[in-house]
Amino acid sequence: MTLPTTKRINSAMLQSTIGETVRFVGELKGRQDNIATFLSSDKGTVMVHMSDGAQYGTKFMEIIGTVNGDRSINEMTSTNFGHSFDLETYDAMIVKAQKFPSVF
Amino acid sequence: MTSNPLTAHAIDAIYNERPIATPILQILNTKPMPQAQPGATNRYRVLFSDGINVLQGILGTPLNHLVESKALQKYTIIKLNKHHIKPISGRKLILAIELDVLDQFGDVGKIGEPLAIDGEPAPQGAAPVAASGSAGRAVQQQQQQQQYRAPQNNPYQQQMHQPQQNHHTNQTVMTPSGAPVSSISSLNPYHNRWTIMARVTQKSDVKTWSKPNGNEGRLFSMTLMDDSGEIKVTAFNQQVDDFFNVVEEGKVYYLSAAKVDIAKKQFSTVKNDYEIVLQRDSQIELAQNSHNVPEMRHEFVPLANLVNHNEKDTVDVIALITDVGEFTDNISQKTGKPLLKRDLTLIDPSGFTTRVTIWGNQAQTFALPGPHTVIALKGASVSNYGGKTLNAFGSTTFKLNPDIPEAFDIRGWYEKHGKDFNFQTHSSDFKPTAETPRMTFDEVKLAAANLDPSQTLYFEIKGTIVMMSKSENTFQYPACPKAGCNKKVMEDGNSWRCENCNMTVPEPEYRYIMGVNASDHTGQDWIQAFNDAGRVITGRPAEDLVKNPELVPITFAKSTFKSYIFKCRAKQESYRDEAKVRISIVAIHPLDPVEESKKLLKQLEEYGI
Amino acid sequence: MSNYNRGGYGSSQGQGYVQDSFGNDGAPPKKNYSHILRPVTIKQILEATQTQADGDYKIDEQDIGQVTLIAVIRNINSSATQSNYTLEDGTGVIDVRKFPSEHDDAEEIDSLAQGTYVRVVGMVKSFNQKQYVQVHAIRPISDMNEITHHNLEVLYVHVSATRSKGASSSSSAYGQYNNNSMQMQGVTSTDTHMRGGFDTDAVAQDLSEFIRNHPDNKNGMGVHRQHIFANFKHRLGGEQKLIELMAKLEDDGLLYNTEDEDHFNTTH
Repeated sequence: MTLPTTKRINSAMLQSTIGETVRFVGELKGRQDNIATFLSSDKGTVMVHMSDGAQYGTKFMEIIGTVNGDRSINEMTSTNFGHSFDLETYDAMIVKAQKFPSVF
Repeated sequence: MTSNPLTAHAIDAIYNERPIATPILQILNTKPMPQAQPGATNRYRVLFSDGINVLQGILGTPLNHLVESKALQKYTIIKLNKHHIKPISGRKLILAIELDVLDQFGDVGKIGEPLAIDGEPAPQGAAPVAASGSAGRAVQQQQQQQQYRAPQNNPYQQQMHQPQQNHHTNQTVMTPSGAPVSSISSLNPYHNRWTIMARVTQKSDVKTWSKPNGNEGRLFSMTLMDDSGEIKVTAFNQQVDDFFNVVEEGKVYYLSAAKVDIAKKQFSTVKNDYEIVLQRDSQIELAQNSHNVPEMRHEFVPLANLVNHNEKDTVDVIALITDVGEFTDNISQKTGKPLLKRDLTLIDPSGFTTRVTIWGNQAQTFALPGPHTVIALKGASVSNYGGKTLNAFGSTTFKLNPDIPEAFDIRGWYEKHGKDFNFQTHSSDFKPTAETPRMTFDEVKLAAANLDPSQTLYFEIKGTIVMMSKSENTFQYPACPKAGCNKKVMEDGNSWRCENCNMTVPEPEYRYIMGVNASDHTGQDWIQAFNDAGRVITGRPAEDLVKNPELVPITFAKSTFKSYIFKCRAKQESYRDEAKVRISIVAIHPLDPVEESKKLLKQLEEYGI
Repeated sequence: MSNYNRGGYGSSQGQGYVQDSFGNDGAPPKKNYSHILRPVTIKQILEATQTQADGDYKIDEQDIGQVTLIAVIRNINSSATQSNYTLEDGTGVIDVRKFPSEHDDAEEIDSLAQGTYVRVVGMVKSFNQKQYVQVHAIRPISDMNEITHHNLEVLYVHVSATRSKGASSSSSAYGQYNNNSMQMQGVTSTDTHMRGGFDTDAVAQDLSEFIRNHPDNKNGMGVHRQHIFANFKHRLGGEQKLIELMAKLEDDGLLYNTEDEDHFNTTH
């Protein structure tokens, strides 16, 4: 099974991951047509082009998708992350993790 | 001006730590740094620019001579051959290791109007670019980026089962007359022509009031909520007659032509600086298409976290009711009035149990609608009475089995795990554990080896149970059921005898005593679990396993590979004439991943990460 | 799981006793890695090294022992004798294999659907040079904050392993234990007052010279901290003091990281 590796990112890391497949966790803030708006762990706004038939079941969602040139994400799949997820510790984790490419 | 030689977006690349080979940059400023000690080597701060962004940096000391000889000064253009990006107190700095001064450009002055890059990245296309060469390149680069669309093949798409739920749809909502709907958060006393569309999340009974001067009247209040916030609405006298029977809790209405006032917060726990008072010409109309107005607005606090709240804080809690206490109507010693109250026992997935007291008529008529009832409390008041408990006073609202995802989560959790769980209370002797050092198994081994026979070592450890008691038969003992005795009893015909209490009982109380093997990344140990810890680990009383021995293997299998914070004591004991260290569990808590994450972040900081 | 419960640890001493006894000299016993449980990413398993064919896998030069990881199930392949789950955590993809047991919780097994985040505990094995994890336990996680916690644990364990490698792991534990024992006596500070007793300036100078002349630093790639630690921690009375000094030198711009957080070069 070939699946891409996906770096965990916040909104500040989108610019440097354009064209890559990433893993993004955010708080769902709204949705218009098939574009969902998320609050990212670093308190930015991230737009996600939802995949066909995508259903977001919880307040927090993990999106795997590719980063477009305008820093939006094309969703490939998503996972419900529940109604209480601590974005602050998550953000601290991913910022530290990116400094250790041999591990993550 | 000659054409712009600077490498566009180089600062962005450097800042975001993308590889970039020898960018050409302009120095906008050089400044000696304050010296740490007199006589220490000078350091120079420099401001680098790529014409679009600027970023502060420090020169490596071998480059100091460039500043000192004025080869490097304001507006000098350089080629940065080698650098590092250094986070210093939350900001990133360029540490310049090697650079060449490019003096072929002459005196160019400042290129572009570069902006600081710290914080949010500059919006696409918004960076002002003065020089044409770089502007052309920048635009081209953007176009390339925008043309890049993600590849369409999707390895995850083979599976797509998600719960069929959707709570969020945002469209511009219109009133039936075609006027736009305002959000609750946009209301203030300066606007009076608005219509909101909101759900009644709570509606009071009609209350009468009277004052010594003979004034009297009636009022009722309700809380309205939309996806922007909530607000309290009060109706007096004539408006009580007009609207009390119009409005039903849980339904969505259009409301207009009412007065927005500063909130009287002493009478309300609703989170809004304003409140609404209904007027004679106010309009309230049922909204038909209301699915996008949220149900209730809660900020639920896990019961485990009540310890972080002070007395009289108000919190929202969602929990499962395990026990409904008796209704009591004692006379208050203070006021001489009857106190009508009833206690409910609550549990939640944080592993804690607490009690909420409901008062007045609600207490008298309270009844469970069925088994596994979930209660959502809004604005419950925290009490320190008996550890951390809750009070549902007049401004507290609660709803049984609310139709919200959290309620389904709790019921699902209870059906799966909750029944087998032993819950912690915030009992009065519950103390935060700052005094007990956190150790690893490696450290415990060393500490235990150096333990004096008279010493007891207390520590806490984060570990995972990797193996239960080695024997499926010797994890418990028959104990004297007399409170506080717990000594082993001997079978004596049809009854059991306790030598300690000098009495015979028909049935012993079976209590856990078992070794469990726990591991972390440094090592492992056998630690002894007594009855309370055994119940938490297995999720059942020992008696269940004695009476149903076929449950032992599956119970032990389920108990293995779960992680806890163990509070332990270690003491030397002699065993078969050998000195051994025995480690026993004093208390056991499930991991709180957020709290543990915060601990790890601190530990990483100690390593400079 | 029951297979595992019954196997493994052979000794049958009294329950609740420390199994490994200590010599009278109090020397730490040789570390037995098969009993440890290390939080890892899939990438760490896939890149684990073997010193010899069929030998034990190592991460950060330590034998792996048992591992625990959190990942998403992307594929399931079950037969009567074995269930195969393909897991993915963003850092890589690995198969984990579980033997069915009569003590499996049927409900738990049913909840292992595609797209579910699970925690796995198991042993790293390989077949045809391809690593897999033999499962002791695989369970859905109920709180997504566990993902944050797990990754921080992975990072902490990696950092604490690689940053004390200059010393033997046991002596680093001594150091940490000493800190703890101080706490137990009510001394909460292990602060820097000791530094006064050492000539930190001289150490800083020698440290720069050491890095500059180190054979590893031929291409300016810096020197791993393990070499620095091994040579300098005694001069400051402990690793913690050296870490503090290096942090200060970094702040002063005299020392910087090169290819990763573990390699240092000097600006002198």
